[in-house]
Amino acid sequence: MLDANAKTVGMVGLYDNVDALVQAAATVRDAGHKNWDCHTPYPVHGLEKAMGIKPSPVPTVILTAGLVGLIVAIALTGGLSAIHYPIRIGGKALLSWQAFVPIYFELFVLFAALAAMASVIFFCKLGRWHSPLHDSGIMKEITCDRFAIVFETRDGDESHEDIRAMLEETGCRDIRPLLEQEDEDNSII
Amino acid sequence: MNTEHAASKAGLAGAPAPSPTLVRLAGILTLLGIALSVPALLGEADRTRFGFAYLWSFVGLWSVVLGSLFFVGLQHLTGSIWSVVIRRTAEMLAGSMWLVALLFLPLLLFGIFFDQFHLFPWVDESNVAGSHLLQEKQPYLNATFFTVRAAVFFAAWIAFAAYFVRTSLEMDHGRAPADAGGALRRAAGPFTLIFALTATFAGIDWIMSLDPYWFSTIFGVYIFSGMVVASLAAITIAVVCLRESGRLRRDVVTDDHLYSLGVLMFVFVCFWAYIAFSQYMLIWYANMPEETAYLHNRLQGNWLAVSIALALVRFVVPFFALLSRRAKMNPRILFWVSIWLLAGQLLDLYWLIMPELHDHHPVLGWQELGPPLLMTGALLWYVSRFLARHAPMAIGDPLLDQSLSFRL
Amino acid sequence: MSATQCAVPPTPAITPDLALRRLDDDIFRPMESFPTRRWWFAISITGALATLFVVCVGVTITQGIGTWGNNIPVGWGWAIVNFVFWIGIGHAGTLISAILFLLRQKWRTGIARFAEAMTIFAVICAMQFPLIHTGRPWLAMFWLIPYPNDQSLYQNFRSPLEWDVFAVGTYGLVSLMFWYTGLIPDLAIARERAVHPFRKFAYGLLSLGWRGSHKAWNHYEKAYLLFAALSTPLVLSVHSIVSFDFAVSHIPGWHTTIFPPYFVAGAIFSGFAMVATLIIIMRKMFRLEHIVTIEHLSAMNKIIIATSLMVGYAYAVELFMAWYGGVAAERYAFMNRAMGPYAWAYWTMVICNVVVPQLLWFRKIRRSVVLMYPVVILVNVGMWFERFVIVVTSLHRDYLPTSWDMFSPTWVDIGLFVGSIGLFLTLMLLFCRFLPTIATAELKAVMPGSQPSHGVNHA
Repeated sequence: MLDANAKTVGMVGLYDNVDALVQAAATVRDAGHKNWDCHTPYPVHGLEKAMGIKPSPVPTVILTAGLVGLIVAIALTGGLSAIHYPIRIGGKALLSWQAFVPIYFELFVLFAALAAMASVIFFCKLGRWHSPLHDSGIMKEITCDRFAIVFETRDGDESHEDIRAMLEETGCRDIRPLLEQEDEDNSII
Repeated sequence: MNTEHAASKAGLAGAPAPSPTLVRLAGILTLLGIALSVPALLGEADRTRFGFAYLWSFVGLWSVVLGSLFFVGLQHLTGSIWSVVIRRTAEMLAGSMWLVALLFLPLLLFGIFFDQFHLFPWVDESNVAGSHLLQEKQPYLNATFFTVRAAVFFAAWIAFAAYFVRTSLEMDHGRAPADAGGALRRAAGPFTLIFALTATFAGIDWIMSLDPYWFSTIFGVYIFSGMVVASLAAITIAVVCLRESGRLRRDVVTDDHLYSLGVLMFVFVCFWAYIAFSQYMLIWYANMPEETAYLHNRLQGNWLAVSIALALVRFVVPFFALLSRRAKMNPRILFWVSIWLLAGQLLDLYWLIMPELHDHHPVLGWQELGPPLLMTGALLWYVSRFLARHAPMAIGDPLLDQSLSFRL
Repeated sequence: MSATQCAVPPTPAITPDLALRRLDDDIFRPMESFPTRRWWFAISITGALATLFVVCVGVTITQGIGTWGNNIPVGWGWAIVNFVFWIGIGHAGTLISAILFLLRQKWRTGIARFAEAMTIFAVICAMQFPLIHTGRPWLAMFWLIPYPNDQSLYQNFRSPLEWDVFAVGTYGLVSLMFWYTGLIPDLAIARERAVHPFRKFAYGLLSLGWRGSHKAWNHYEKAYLLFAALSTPLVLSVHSIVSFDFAVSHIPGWHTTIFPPYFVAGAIFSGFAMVATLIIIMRKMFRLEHIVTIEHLSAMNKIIIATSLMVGYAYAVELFMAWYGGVAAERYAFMNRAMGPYAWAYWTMVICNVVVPQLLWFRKIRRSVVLMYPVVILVNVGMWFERFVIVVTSLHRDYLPTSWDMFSPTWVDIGLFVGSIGLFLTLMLLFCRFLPTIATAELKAVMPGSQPSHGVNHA
């Protein structure tokens, strides 16, 4: 999968132990690095604190979408049943909200859930099928049982040697370059 | 061995101690309740109002106490770990079941046998003679069977409450039998079954049969949902007060434990709304005369405002108040929401009971206030007595260690 | 602490001491090896049944729903029975994946993926019946979904059948998205493990390039939690709305206020029985007994007892209120259920749903695959009969005695029902072949020693 054109775009430190990873992440956070991330086979609790990540905006997005859905439902049922095509059914009032509550609720949930799905794709930066992690063959290990701290050095601010030294200091014994296939085009096919 | 275990845990919670403030508060409320009740009992018209108010506040007290008993049983049934540190407060409330039974006696005497309160139309023979439907219901709705049922209900509740509370208190001192935890868990299964049936039929007897022509199959679930909310609110108030007064340590009853209580409260607020809406919507939709009369009475005149207030007080406000994670962990917010929810339970019961006496216009005067004050005073007196004798936490529970380290 | 004092150990998520790599191997093996002979044997039977379903749908569409046993007064026959039955089956999946997730019941992780798949396939089966009953399902879009049309004529939003469109549609879509969200990290594992380039491409495409970044996990976990929080009231609403189909009417035995919570309890009951029925076979077939353990089955059996009692409570309250209410038609409807021509169906329902599950109180039965299997099968049977009793016995003797009639299914009715079971099982078998049946990444996160040992989380 990699040929001679591969270019080094960063550094990866691989850990076998989750405690070592969390401690290393705290060290890296305190050293003030940018462009780094932890990659794990499963969600590690407390790692966001060790990494210093801000709380996710996902709940706000989802709640907002749900409220939009609620308004759409109120407009849809009321607008169509009472204004656009008013027709009296079963002796009920034209704006019989009691009978519309199920639709209010369902559209609230539907919109919120669509927003949740969209949030996963957007905030987790999915839909980018190509990455240096795949190229370097590191994904195979971090989807199974190993933990990685990954630095991207495309902007050239940080030297590979400094990073390597710091990773070694955290007790990392498996440090590899992050490689990217040069002439790869970014489409999936 | 158990004794040592309990001794090593004794430092986790404050020792039993009298609380003069609580005793004083209980005394003031009780005296005030009696002072308002006596004149209400003397007048003929006021006596009926007093009777309805007595039933109203009695059912409120009953729902808190029986709901707490259910909470205790549920924790044993599920082998719940997080709740061990706060279970004692629920046990404390559940332990007052004998007091509830005692307070039921005036209702039985003056509500059923002497019919001084004119509560239940089916007690009055002239009503029964004039109604074919009431005659048909006689095999169920008659004074003797009503009394037998109430006796059976209270016997079951008192027996289970005594068993759950006594075993937990014995564990405090390491005096419980070795397999007490397993025995409690085994008792919790049958208890839950008996609870479901007795709570349903008590709700039918004491509340639904005020209008003996009306019926709703979901009524037992409706009473249950309100009862759980009310008892969770009462438990939360007790926990927060004990924590503020320092008798429960903040590092023992943590924010995570409070959060779990908050989540349960939030879930049951939603559950109540779901049940209440289902009942209302189905009756509204089918629009059958034998059912709608009940709702019609509660949606006409000034009762409409009470109905709307009920939806706001019991669902909308607490829903938004408890929505965020932070609110469910904040003792101050939990305390005030719990007070609000207890008021909501009283409003709900008021909405269920009072329209049978006052159609078109809800009435709330001094005649109604005696019984609630009296019963609150009685409960607080009982609570102060309990806290003076027993530890505020189940320090002998074998699951306590795990519960202490419970984190979200 | 005395060792004899019985502390209830929480049901563990998994057999302890299982290496992560070994876990991957065990879970992904069925997907990566050539199907066993047993699998081919199973799918040829279910495939044949699914074909029967297609044939019966063909008959229904070409000749009309006159080929069904529906008559007047039984205007709703097996189609609605099957619809409610399948929707109910789906509910356990959402319950396991969402409600038990919110309750932090870690044991759910082992069976959640499987149960969610079951939900989706059950909803697919359920949707077939209302669609084909329209006669021309390719036009159903125009009848069911409100869209701005030339006639300015719109759906009746007061109709519970229109609520069904919104509820079941939302439920199907949300379940699918919830399931897929859970699958993404596992699909990334499948991609990395794949050898054949096509498999690598397909799983890679589906995994959306998941890289396990913690910044991504941080958003992902929040979204997953909110999916669970949304699915929980959703699952309650769906079966409540299905119960409204009956309960908003005037038909004796249908119009009763307890229907919403009663239907929800029944749905969870039947759904858990179906999960148990299938997962017992699946764990045997793919040798996953150390991942889906007897502890899981025992925990599910406890939920089956609880929901069985709820259903029994509803039966009892309905009977009591039918008498207490004093409405002649209502009283007759229940007399007729218990003692009329369909009494055999009623008592089948009561025995299968209320009496038989009580056997699970015995620890020995609860923890033995062989002994519990007949119980869960009978629950499946009983819950189908519950819907049959509700639909047919209430209709066949309605308010007008001159129109009373009996209902008997035709071969098309039977073929559609049996065929839908075939369709469902075929989809399940395909799922077991092509997708990870256990939520692997999530399971890794709850395994002993998988989380940091310092800090607050030392429980």
